[in-house]
Amino acid sequence: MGYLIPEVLLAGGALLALLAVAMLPNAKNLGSWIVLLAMLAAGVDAASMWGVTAKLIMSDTMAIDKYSILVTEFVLLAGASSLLLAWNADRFGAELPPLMAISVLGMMTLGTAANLMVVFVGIELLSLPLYILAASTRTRAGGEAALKYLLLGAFSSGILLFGMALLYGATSSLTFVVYPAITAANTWLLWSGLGLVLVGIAFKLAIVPFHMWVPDVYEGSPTPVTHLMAFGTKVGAAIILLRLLAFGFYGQDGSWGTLIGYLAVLTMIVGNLLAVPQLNLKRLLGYSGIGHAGFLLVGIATHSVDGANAMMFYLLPYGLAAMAVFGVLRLIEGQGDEVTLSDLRGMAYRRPWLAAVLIVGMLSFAGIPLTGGFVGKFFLLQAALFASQPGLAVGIVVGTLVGLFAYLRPLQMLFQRTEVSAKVQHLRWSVAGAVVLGVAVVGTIGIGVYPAPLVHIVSQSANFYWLTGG
Amino acid sequence: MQGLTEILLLPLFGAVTIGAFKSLAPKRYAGIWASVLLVASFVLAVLADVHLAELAAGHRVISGTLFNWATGFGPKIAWNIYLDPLSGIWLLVITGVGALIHIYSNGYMHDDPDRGRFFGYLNFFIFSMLLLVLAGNLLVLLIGWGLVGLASYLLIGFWYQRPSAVQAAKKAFVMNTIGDVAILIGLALLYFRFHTVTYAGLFSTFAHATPNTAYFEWTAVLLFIGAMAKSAQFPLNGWLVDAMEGPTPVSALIHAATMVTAGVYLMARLYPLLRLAPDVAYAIAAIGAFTAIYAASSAFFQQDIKKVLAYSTLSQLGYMFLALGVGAYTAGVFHFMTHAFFKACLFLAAGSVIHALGGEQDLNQMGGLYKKMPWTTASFLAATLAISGIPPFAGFYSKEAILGQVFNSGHGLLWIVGVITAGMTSFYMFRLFLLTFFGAPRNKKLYDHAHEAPAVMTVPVVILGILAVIGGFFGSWLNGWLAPVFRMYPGASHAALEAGPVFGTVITVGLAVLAFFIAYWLYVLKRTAAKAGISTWPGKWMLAAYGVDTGWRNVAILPIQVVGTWFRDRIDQGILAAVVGVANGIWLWAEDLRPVQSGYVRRYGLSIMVGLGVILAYCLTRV
Repeated sequence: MGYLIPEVLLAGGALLALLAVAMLPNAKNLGSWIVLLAMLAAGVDAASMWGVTAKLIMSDTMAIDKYSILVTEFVLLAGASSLLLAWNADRFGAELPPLMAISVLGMMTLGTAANLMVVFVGIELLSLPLYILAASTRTRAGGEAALKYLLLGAFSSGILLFGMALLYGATSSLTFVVYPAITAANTWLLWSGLGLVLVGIAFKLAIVPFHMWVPDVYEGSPTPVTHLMAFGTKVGAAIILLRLLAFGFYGQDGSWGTLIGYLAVLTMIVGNLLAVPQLNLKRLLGYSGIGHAGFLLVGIATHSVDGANAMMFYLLPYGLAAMAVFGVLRLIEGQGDEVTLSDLRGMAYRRPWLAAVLIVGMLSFAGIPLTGGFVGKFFLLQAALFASQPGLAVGIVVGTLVGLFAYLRPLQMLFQRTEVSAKVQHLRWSVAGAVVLGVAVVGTIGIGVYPAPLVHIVSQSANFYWLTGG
Repeated sequence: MQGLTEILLLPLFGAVTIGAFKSLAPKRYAGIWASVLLVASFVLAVLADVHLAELAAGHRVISGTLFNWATGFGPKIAWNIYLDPLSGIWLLVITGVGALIHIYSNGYMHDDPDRGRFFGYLNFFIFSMLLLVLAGNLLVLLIGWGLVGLASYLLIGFWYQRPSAVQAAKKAFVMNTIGDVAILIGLALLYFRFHTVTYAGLFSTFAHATPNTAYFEWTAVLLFIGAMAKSAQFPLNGWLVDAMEGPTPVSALIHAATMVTAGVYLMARLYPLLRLAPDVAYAIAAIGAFTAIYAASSAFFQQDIKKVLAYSTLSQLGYMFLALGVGAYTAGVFHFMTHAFFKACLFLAAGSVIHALGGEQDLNQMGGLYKKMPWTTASFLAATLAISGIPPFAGFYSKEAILGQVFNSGHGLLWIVGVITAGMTSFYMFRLFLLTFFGAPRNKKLYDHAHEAPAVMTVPVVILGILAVIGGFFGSWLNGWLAPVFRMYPGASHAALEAGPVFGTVITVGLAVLAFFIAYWLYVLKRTAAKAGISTWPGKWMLAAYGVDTGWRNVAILPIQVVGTWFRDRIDQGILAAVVGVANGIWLWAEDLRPVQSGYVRRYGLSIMVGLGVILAYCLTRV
């Protein structure tokens, strides 16, 4: 059972933090420290398992392989950076660290899932804390965000669960890693189940037309929570979709591949397009997140190892860029929860370093060379072309072009010399924020200039077809 | 990798540390630090070459990978390092001559307030040049190639307060960029066909390719254009003479001994490709011979001590390309080596003269300096005898090797051009020597203030002078050393050194001696002034190098300006309007979509249901 030590560490950390904040309510940052240390310990332990032989555990319901380990590292990075962004901010409430830990635990569970029940548990474990966290500032917008998220989340969970039931009916197994042996028969039951499950996961990943909740929820939630949704949830939903489709249903590639391809193109274009006119930066990032979900789908739609590699690769530059941008937002917003475009005015002159970080993050989102985002988009484009799917390639290009427009508009504000916004003037650096921004910038440029090590790691982990034999 | 990484990184380390600390430390430390690092690099280079010599003759290659650069999901590209006897020679010359020139610069730049920057650039240049030479694939070579161009640009424009220096730097950079682009295209052609850019990979496929196909001819032409630009072969020669605007040690290091021979290195390195492109090989020989005689004649009437040397560099580079073109690879490399010795010596000695005369470079202000500067005069004389091909000085052996093989391989016309050029070389070099050091002082005031350079400058000059005397005796050693390189692949029938006909040697040396007497008669006995004849018809043309610069202006610069203006006014505005139009379109489109986001949860739920319905319908059609 040594394989689940990272999960156990994090769960233990969450419980300990809960106890600690209850018993020592005046100790500043105590819960955050406990959870952060638990996350670091989990990360180190997961990394030490890198050489493990891939295997199924817990009656074949969970898979431990390099894929699950890499996912664990990604979501722990998301969790730790969210935690650091919420550092020293009492207004989010003392229960924020343990709730974040539980949400991250859900994402880690998705990484290991080999069984539909585990998928469902993972998704709910991920979502339930987020419903609470969305309302943790107790503002009107926060309440609205949490309620919308909860209602629509419950709706989509119902669809997901129903789909799983149909799949069970069609295959008489919940363990999807054995599906390739069964799904040779194309029954309507199987296809209905797959369609419903797709919708359930697509909701979490924010695929058009299941994306409507994203901007409202992103806008209303506190910035660290928004960051966790943007980075962590995206990773969790994307990787389970990839494992489920590319492994469990790899026999029907011509069919669901096309469907995912259409969704990818629609999502890339609509998401980036709607990001263009936004004035609230968190709404803008919400739409940008939708657009990026579309890019991630491209990797799945190609139904090839290249595509799987490219999607896994894309997650990290995307997450690092999100860290940079949300980190800057967190510093600008101070005691508030809202940052609009006009709050960025004059930042390049007043806070040149911070402005530089924002520029790096935005350019990586937009996919400009020398940033990780460019390399990620390059690999996706390559995968689409290698898979002879020019439509996807065109979608990437159009989506990127429109996205560029959206990302350059905030940057334009940085260079407005006429006036400096009040928020920029009263901005104060924090150590935790600086750590997040430092990691984000070094990582983004590092991957952009020298992607080889990450490519190596990803190409080892995205090769999860070891399951095919067993 | 036998210290190759250290050899490469020491100068880079120097450039970085000097750049970082130049305003903190006392000024003289920059030069000392840069020189120390380079001497260390030279020692390591000697050790690496010794190690190379200890390997079995057929396996004299040290290779390694610094790191994988772009592994991607496609073909791999790494920073390969590669040392074989050919790059070993370049390695020794770059670090050895480079170290001497660094030491010399400590004296020459002594009074310059900005010498920290100078030494930083100089070390950066050495790093780039070593990268070019030690590269194990064409892509890394191209990176080094680009970086030496940058270093050359920075150093030519070192005195950026002078508009002429800035102009010259710009000109050098633009002309070199033509070459860089050509190499890049050639590289792409090779990569698309063979999916590799490493020497080992390319040469193994070249070994059994069919010669004389259009593909190889074009590839070779493109790579040769790159070599032409870097080595200033006609018609891309204009920048080298202007590059004399840089400090004199720079002219010695970059524009005589090392960087301008990068083209020679590239062509020698790619000799398996030249075998496959015989037409291009002949063109290389012809362009080399033409450049040799063209530059030699242009040197006849120059008034500036450094410009004479610049034209002579062009001319000698022409000899090297002539050698490569006829397949005499070892002879070409041999001439590169001796040329590095005597030309660096000439430039540094000229630098001492300029230094002694307080910055004066005009031959009309010199004369009689041998009494004041005995060491410099002796070294200059040794190097002049070497470049003129008088036995037994270094240049005699290497030039004889080239001309002999040109004759043996049956290129009669090219041989005649080479022999005549040898006589012309002797004339203009002795003209320069006699005008500078003999005769009556033409400017009494400058002459009275002149003095021998300090030891830090004189010693490197004398060492190079000695090398210019004895460098020719390395010939047979070099022949054995390079034999494994050029034997590894077929098609190098004339690669080794060969003896030419005796009558050829007699004619060449006879012409050189005759030219010396003519120069002596004209400039010592008849005391002809340096500027005599420059307003007459041939002199005017030769002084302006036959108007190649004007030609470039009319053929390339003016038309491009016209086209550029037209594009700016018409096309550019149109593109701008189109971009604005697209942006406006996207904006309107986005605004149109916005009302869908109403904020009502029931609408959001409806959207999910519609999506679900479509997906289910799609799925059920698949059954």
